[in-house]
Amino acid sequence: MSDQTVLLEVRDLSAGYGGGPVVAGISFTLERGEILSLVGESGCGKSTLLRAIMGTEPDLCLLSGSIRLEGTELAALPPRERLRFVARRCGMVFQSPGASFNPIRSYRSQFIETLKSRGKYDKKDFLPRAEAALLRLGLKEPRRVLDSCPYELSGGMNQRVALALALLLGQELLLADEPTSALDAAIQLQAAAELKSLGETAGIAQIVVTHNLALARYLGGRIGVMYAGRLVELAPAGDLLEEPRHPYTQALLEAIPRLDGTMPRPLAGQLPGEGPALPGCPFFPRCSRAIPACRETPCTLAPWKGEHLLACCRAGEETP
Amino acid sequence: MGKYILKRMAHLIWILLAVSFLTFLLMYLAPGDAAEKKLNAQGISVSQEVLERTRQEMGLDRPFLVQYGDWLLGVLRLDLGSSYKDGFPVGEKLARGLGSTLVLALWSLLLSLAVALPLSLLAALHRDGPLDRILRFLSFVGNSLPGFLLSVLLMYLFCVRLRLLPVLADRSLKGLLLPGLSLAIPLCSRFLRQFRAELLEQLGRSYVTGAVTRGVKARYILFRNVLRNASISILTIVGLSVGSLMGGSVVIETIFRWPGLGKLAMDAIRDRDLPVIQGFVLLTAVIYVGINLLTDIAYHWVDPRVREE
Repeated sequence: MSDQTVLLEVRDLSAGYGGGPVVAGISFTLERGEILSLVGESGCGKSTLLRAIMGTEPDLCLLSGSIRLEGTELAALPPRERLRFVARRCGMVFQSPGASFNPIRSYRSQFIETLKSRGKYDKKDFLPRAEAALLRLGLKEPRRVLDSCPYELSGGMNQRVALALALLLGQELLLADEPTSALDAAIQLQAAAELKSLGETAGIAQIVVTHNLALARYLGGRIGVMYAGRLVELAPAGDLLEEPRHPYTQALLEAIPRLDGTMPRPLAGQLPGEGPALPGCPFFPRCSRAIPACRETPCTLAPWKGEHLLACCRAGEETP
Repeated sequence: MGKYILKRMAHLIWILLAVSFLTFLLMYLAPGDAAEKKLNAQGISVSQEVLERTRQEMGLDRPFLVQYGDWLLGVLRLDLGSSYKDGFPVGEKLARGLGSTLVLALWSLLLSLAVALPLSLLAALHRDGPLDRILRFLSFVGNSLPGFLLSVLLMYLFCVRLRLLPVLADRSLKGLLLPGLSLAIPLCSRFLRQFRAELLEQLGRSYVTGAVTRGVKARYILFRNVLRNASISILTIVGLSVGSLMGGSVVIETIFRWPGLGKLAMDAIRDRDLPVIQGFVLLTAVIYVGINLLTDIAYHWVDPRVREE
């Protein structure tokens, strides 16, 4: 694949920590500047997928499949080189903003050492560039922010500083793990708006892991729904939320509390535990529309309608 | 900051009062008699009469509180009194002992730090590797060996078997070697374990993962971040050890006949030499409090979070 618009291509990826795979059979592509939100309940493998792409955890091994970043196969690179290659192109935004920085050193010194490590430090234009990046993310006093330590700033500010550094580094892909869940409700929207604008104006592609379907809808782009380590539905945000096809996606949407007073319907049952995976659909035991064939027939993500991809053997049938 | 130091100094006064009163009381209650010891030391055969007279001369027949008050008044005039045993001013004796102890303490501390810092860093970086296992075993052994056994073993090896060093230490570099090693080996073993644990803790923090994902060079992560953050705990550990080193290691100084504070105190206790004991206790308390204060000041310097409080 030498397609210039494709930034990341994940094909049939399985990865896990020593035991069985935690994520399996994941395939998707991400274009430059595109936002992909990954949703699903806790333990479904969303964060593991992000870490497998980033490759910072030595315990997490790729079991099969491929990850191509800008056309380079990551699985083929030795670990150190892989890390360097990925770090040059991808930034990671963590759940707890600021936690990825040393709490007791100033942002200025941490910015400088990051830029120096990447051979991008220029003493003369560091300050104007850093200030411009911080201003762009709405930090009014960039000079003061640079001289502050992470522990001195609020969660929202720390989040913006992290994004500003990604901007300064010219990162092409941001992997964000629950970027807003540790923030106050009032600044969640602001943080979401910043992520969105980084995609739209700076052309930074993003994979955003979240529990929050409202955030996924707001970000636009595409939404991938994960269940038990598989991607079960992948579609443009609007399509997916208006016309959810997978029974799990439907159940997930029904489980959201609403302001109009309709009671949410929690999804019965639990995620499958460890042990050999079922040969068929992983959602089979909890699915209200399952037929005996679902237990045996493996289902893979396939186009259902246009860009709407679905992994359900009853895809062709009408929703009752 | 200045205000903070003054406050700590004010605490020191209460600590000194309490410590000196308790030691005075304990020595008063303890069996044995300074007058008898003094006369024995001078080789005079002791009759009850002479003993009584000497006790009166030394003021030992007065009530406890009067004796303590008398001593306290002396201290307020910066006079620690003079030794019962040889009549030398206590201040002079302490100063000489402190000098010797300082030399020994600094030497063994520097030796321990020079070995423990790089090795604990290597062990933490290669956790559960062969080096880490070997160091863990060695530091376990070094930690378990009591100082007196270690020093006797070292003496046997270097002085008796190899005949490389003198048994009795003098203040030359050669003389410093064995008492220094006897103090440094257990200290270094303790440092190794504690530094390693702290470094591992810091290496597991999310800021390290963050820096790795940003592509920050390992050198910067280690020396500018991990070591810097770990130095807060390391300072505490070192500060506490310096306190006990400066108090003089009684056992090691006695074994090597090192004329430091520990040996001074040991001899003074044997001779019931109350003024010297009291002076030693006061000095040790001042050293402990002083070093704690220095450690706290160092925190302010390293950790901006403390600076603000």
